[in-house]
Amino acid sequence: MHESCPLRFYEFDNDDSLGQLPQTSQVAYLREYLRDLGVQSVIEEPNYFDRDYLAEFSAFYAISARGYPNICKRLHFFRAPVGRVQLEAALGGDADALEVMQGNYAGFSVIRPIPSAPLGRTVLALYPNNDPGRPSRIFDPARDYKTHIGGIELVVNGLAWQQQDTGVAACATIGVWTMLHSSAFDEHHAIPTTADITKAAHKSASLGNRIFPSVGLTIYQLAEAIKEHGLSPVICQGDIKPAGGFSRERFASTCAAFIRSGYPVLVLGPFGDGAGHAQCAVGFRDAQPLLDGPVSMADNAVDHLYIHDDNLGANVRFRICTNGAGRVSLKADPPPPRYGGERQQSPTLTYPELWPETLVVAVHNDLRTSPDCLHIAGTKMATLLNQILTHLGTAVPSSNLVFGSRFIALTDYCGPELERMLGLDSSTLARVRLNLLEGCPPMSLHLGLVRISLADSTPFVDILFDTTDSDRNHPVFAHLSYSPLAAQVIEEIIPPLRSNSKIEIPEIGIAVRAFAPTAA
Amino acid sequence: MDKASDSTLWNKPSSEWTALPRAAVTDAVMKELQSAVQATDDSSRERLERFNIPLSEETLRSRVW
Repeated sequence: MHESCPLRFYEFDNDDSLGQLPQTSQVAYLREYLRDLGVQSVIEEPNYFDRDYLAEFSAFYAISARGYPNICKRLHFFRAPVGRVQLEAALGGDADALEVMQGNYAGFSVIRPIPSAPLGRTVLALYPNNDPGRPSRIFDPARDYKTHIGGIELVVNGLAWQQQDTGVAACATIGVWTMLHSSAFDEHHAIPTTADITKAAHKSASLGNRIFPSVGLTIYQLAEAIKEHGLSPVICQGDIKPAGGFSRERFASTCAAFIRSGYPVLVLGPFGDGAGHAQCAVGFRDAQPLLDGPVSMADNAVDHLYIHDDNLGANVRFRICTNGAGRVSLKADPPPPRYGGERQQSPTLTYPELWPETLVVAVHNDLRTSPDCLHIAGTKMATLLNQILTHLGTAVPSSNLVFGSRFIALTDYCGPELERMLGLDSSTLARVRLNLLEGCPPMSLHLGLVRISLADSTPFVDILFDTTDSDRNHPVFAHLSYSPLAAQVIEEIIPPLRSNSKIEIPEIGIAVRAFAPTAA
Repeated sequence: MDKASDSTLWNKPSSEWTALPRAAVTDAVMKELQSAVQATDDSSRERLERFNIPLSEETLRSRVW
C-alpha cells in the first residue's frame, strides 16, 4: 500500500533528487538546461499519480513480475530559493510568497519508477527570448501547462517531453505524443497517452507485430495513430535524388512553415550507425533570408531547430548542416552556457548526426493543403511579380522579392496578425477587417497564407488560400495589397496579362487594399 | 550572397515601412510585359521541382522508427 510522505525540498545542484537517478545523457542534459534557466531550488512531491504513467502501467507494467509500483514522483523547479517556509507562506495566502513561486516557476518533471527510463512527462520553461541583436526563437507549438501544489496553481509555457521506455513507446511514439500536445490543438481534444498512441498505431496497421513491448512504428502506423486521434497526417519526402534526404531550402522552409503554424514536425532519418531515429522539431531560431536570386524564400536561412529528442531531452539545439551534395543533416549544437564559464556537462557534443529523410506532421482534419502547394504558389506569384517590377525600372527600390508561407487560423489572421501589420493606422485596419468579413466568400477556419515582400521585408501582398480544397484546385479567397504599387500591379497590370500572354496566371481572389487612401 | 534587412517579412514592424506609391506605366511597358512575362525562370523551375515530390510506397514501408 502507498504511504503518506512529506514533501522534500532541495537546493538545486546540491545533492538534489536528480542526483539519485542513473546519470544518463538525459539527466545530464536536464541538469544543464535547468542550470541555464537559473534554477535554484527543487520541490519533490514523493507521491504523484501521473496520467501518462498510469496508462503505461495499465497497458504494460502492471503484469510484469518485477512489481513496478503505479505511483511516480514529481519534481518542480524554481528560479528562486523556495523551501518549506516559503511554501507554507504561499499556502497560507501570502501574496509575496505566492508571487515568488509563480513568477519563478521553471517547470516540472515526472519521475517514473522505471529504472531504465525514469524521466516521464517533463515540461520546461523556454529560454528567455531576449538575446540582444538576434532574431527571436519561434516556438508556436508551446502551450501553457498548469500544475498544482496544495492548491497553488503554477503555470509553465513549454511542450511536453519524455524518455522512451521501449515497453510502451519508442522514439517515434514519443514524437507523436509531443506533436499532439501542441498549442494548435488546444481547442481540439484530450491529449492521448503514449499507450493510447501505440494502441492506435496497431489498430489497423499492425501486420502481425505485437503491440507491447513496442520497439518502433512504421510510417503507416504513425499516420494511422494520428488519424485515430481525429487529426490528419501530412508526410513530406526528401527532394535529394537519388540518395534521398532534404535540400536546405526545402527542409528549412517546410519545418518553419509548420512550426510557425503551431504544428511540431516529426523528423525521421538514419542516425549514427544507420539505425532509424525520430526527433520532434518544436521550434527554430528565426533568420533573415539569404537573397539567393530574384525570388528568395523567407525561411531559407534558418540555421537552428529546437528539438525534443528522447535520447537527450527537451528543446535541444540542433544546427541544420549540409554535406557536399547539399543534403541536410541535424547536428547537436549546444549554445554557450547562460550561467557563465564552461559547460559543466555536454551530453550533446558527441551525439551523432541525423539525416532527415521524411517529415510527418499532425494537422487539423479540415486542413487539406500541403505546405508544398503554398510554396509552389508563392514561387509562381513572386516570380511573376518580380518580372513585372523589373520592367517598371526605377519605380521600385528593388525588384528582388522574398516570400514565405504558413497556415494561420482565420481569427488569428484577422486579429493579431493584421493588427501587427496595420496597427498604426486604425481606420485602414478597421476597413480591411470589414472587407474580409463582408466582401469575401465564407472563409475556412484555417487559411494558407503566402506573404510576398520586397528584399528589405517591406510587405507587398498577402494571398489568402482556402485550405479545405484539394491541392489541385487550391482556390484563393482574397489578396491584400500593402501599397498603391502592389494594388496597381495586381489589379491593373496582371489582368490584361492574364488575357493576352501565353502563360497561365491564376486568379487570386477579391482585392483588398491594405493601405491608407491617402497613400494612393 | 546578401542578407536582407534585420527584420523578416513575418515580423517587420509597421512603423518601419511605408506604402510604395504607384508607378508610371506606359503602353510600351505593358506591351513589353505581354511578351516578356514567363511562367518560370531557371531558379524558380528548380524550386518548383524541389517542392513537388510525390510520396513513394518505399518511404512509407521503409523501416520501423
